Amino acid sequence: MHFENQPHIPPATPGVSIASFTSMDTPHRAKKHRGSYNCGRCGLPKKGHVCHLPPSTTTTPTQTPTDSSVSVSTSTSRPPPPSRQQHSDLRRALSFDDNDLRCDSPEIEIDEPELDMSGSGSGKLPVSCMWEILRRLPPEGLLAAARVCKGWRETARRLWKAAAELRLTVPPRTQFVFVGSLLQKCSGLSRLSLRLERSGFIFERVAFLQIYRSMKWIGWGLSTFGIL
Amino acid sequence: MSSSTDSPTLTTETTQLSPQPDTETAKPTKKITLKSSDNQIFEVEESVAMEFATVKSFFEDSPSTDTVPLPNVTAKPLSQVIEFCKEQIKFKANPDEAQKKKYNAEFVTEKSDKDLVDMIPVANYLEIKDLLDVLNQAVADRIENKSVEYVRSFFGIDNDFTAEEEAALRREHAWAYEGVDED
Repeated sequence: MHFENQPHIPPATPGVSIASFTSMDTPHRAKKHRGSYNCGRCGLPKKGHVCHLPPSTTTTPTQTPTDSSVSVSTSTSRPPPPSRQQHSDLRRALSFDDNDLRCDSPEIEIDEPELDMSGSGSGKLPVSCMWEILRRLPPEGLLAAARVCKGWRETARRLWKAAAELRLTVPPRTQFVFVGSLLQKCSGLSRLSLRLERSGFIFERVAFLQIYRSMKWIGWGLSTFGIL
Repeated sequence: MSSSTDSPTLTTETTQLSPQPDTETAKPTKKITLKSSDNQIFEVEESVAMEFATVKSFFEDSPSTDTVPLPNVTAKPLSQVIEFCKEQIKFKANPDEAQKKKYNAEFVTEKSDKDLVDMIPVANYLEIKDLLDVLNQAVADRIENKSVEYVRSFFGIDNDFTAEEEAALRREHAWAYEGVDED
């Protein structure tokens, strides 16, 4: 299969299974088979986009400002979700599109209030600059960047952690342990779109099992998947 | 031929030809002096200097000074930053997104790796957001898909991992691709 030059997630291609999960979203949303590529606030395409509109809060049922991790909820009757941000509030999005290692523009929009940006990082770069450079790297680049030095490793770790949205295209022949392990780095994730570039019942079962394990690890439930 | 054409238009001229008063053009653009850490002096127009948020707030705090010392900034990156800001001023006066994009792209492509890396802390210190965005993107583009060793030498970073740590990291990184070549 060759998807090199296709858009991020093409509309229902045979042989490609797409799952889109939104943590703590209503179940019917899970049937939407792809994430939105447009900014939830201003409607412009997300790629390379930094939204200047204030986040809207109207779509969020109960807004809890805490960033504590979402508890695993697999029961069918959930109380009003201890909502993280819904997608319209996702200021932090990491697009991960690793076809052929050619991610042209990953985007991470991140609020980094908790980061200490004042220190001087490794080499001559201030930490804030290192952050700005690394967040422009594709996911593989970010993985590799962690090997450069301790300062970069720390910055990369924070970037993974701070990413709230991950859009991930899993190319053929990537082991799913990779995805799982990646997800474990992303503890701040609240929305995940996953596209698998192959099909086959057994294969998918194995894949989801592996992913499910890592989702549990980061505190997600499976009830909202709607695909299993 | 010339029957009815010649009546009303010929009357208005003659009044407007007096020379314009010189007051508007006479106002000289104020110059501001910047002094780099290696004691080079740069005289720039005020509008350019005001692009540097750091310099701007310096002037707001102490308007009487005429020279702004920039202890963290050496001459070469500073001159390049000034060059960039001069162009941005033109685009501000005369917006042309396409031209601006083109200029920004050319500005970074013609710079060496070292120039880019040297300019980033300067742009950061002077708080020139547009330039910082351009530089960060350019640098990210240049190190994308490059080896770890390349990135280290690109930025002049020393490897501060122990051999064990590095081996562990390499292992961690390796599994990311182990599924790609096999099978």
